Amino acid sequence: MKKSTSAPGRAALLNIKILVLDNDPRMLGLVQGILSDLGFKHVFTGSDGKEGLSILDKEQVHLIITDWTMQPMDGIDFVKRVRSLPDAFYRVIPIILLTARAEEEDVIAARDAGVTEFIAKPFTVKRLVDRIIAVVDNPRNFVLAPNFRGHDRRRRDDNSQGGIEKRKRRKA
Amino acid sequence: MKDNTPTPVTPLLQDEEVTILPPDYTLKKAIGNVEMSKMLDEAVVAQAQQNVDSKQEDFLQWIGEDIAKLERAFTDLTVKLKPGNLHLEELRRIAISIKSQAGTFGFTLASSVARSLYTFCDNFGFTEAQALVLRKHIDAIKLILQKRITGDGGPVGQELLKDMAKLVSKFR
Repeated sequence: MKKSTSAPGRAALLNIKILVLDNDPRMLGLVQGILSDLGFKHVFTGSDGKEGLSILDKEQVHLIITDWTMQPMDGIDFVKRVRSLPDAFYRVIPIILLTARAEEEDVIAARDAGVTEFIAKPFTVKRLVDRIIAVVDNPRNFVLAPNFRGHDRRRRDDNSQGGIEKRKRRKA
Repeated sequence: MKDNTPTPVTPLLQDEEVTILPPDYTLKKAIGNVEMSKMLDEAVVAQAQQNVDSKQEDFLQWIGEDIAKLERAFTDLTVKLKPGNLHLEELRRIAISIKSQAGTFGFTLASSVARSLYTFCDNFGFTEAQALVLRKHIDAIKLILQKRITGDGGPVGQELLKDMAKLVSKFR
């Protein structure tokens, strides 16, 4: 297969550091391999949320891709911990959840925990790439509220309810 | 080396309950403000997917280990078919793992049957009849992988899924 010659200098992808968490070493290897093929060569890996937090303590990463079902700390607990970190850089970091748990209540729970994007396993490379493109090219507002910390859960660019201005007017 | 010196950010809204921060473009800046969608173009994605597809034989080896664990969990479950038997959770966990991996390597039908298996575990009543349903699921997954049936298995695959759904519905 011919490599694309029209893609802008992909050397810049070497500037991106990604953290990948999964308790299955085979899945971890698969995702790391895919990211490497895409051009992301700085990938840190861990097998659960605790390891993830330990890596975040030492390294500056730009993106997190995590599984849900891990022990001792699962993906959702990890996301909640990251969203509560004192480090403002990490509080707003994009987090992609890559999980076999894909029932409606799972997606809602993940979204409400502060996950930025959700991919159900099994997955294709295109699906992973679409989510990476979404967080890089179309980042969303970040909301800090008593019962929610995460990227704006609304996806549509719809200001029909008045948006932020409505809240400002109400409070004024 | 970690350097998370925060860049001052002006909130879009800040009141006593909620703060809304504007989108964070750290990732975008790290790649020189180029569109990620142009860097990860169709050719790059296709090459990465091709590399995943070429690992199908590796997957069949891994999954052989998971199938062996599934069989052991089923045997241990049926030896003492009583509520509280922890082998049900073991069986469910392995089914989720198979579901998450099989489709990624092109065995979509196997993923669908594995999904049916683990959701059946959620309402398992520890009867002989229900154990037989687990058995049928396991046998179907083994056959699909043995015969290397990729994709949704065509009309035969769809018929299999319909039969599984009919079987499962008897216990709702």
